[in-house]
Amino acid sequence: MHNSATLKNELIFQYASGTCNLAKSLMASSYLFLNSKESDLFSQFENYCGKEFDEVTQINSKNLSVEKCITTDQIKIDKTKSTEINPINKFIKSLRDLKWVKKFNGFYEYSFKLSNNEKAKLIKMNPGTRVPLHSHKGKEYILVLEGKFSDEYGLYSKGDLQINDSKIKHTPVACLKEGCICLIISEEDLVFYGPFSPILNLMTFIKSIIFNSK
Amino acid sequence: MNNDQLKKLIYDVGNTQNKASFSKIFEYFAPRVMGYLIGFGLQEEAAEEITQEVLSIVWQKAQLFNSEKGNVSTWIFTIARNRRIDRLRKNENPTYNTQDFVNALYPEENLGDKDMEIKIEKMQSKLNENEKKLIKMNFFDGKTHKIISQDLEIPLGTVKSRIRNILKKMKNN
Repeated sequence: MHNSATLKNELIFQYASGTCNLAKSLMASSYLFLNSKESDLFSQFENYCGKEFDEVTQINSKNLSVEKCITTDQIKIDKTKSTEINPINKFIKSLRDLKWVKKFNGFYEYSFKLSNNEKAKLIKMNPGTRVPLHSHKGKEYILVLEGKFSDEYGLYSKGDLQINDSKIKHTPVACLKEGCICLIISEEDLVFYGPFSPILNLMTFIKSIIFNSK
Repeated sequence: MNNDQLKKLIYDVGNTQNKASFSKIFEYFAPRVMGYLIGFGLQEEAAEEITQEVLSIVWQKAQLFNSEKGNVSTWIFTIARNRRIDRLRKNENPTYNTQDFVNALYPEENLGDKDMEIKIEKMQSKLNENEKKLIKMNFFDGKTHKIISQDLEIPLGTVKSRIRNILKKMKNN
């Protein structure tokens, strides 16, 4: 069965801690943009990481200087919050007029670069298009940006995120009225890295939050 | 230092550009930002550059700190996190993916799947069993370097350099 809530929290936590790649960051930030109710959970996770940051192993360096900070020219920082601008619009202007590549009848893909190494993919399904039953090699994240689709597990509309692992088999069908456009990323295995990884017994932590809030 | 002390220092910097207060913040956070970045596997030089940037931003934007949103540590953590991810975006360390591999070997476009298979088989015949196994795992089974290193019980760095060498060898053929 789907354990989407836990997996969603895991994604948000990874994004808050800065431990996911660009594709997953885009997935998480787009999900948060479309689901403003999750922003509390996101800042809760950020605060948790802030506390861990206090305890991180310290490394001193002679090359750093206070004086350099004070004399440095103004550094531009991106102040636009994920709540103001759709993160996907940093990469593509609009979901219209994209050069979709037809994969089979009624099913189109559009990939775009996130960096030299990473890509993300949009898919478009025309109304009523049915994807044959399939499962996934690793995990697959599907975020609905427009329209609706349904499968054995339910109906997914704009802002809904479905996370499938290799055990899930499904037959998605695009809604008859409007079809759908989704952001899709997949990962083959979960790799935790970075300074938090030793304390990042992520699932335990997230589960404890879920159970405590019930 | 606890959050109240840090908060007071940040307000000093934000309201009066107090250099003494900033020095204390710097002393407290610079080694933490460094440790955080090195923990992600950044080279010392790159970590120093980003740490310098992060602390410069703290000096320049101290008035933007909002204690309702979280602690000082959280604020500085998010700045460090975001700077590191910006760096990732401009990535200077490209790694191979299947498409790069295919493009490097077969510059001519629109090679059909069948032709591709034949060419790849031909290339493979030039490799020994161990090399074939590595290439197969990486490019055909889609396993990451990390997984390969675990499966074959050889260090990650060795997997990376071996694959790089095999690609070189195939390309030169």
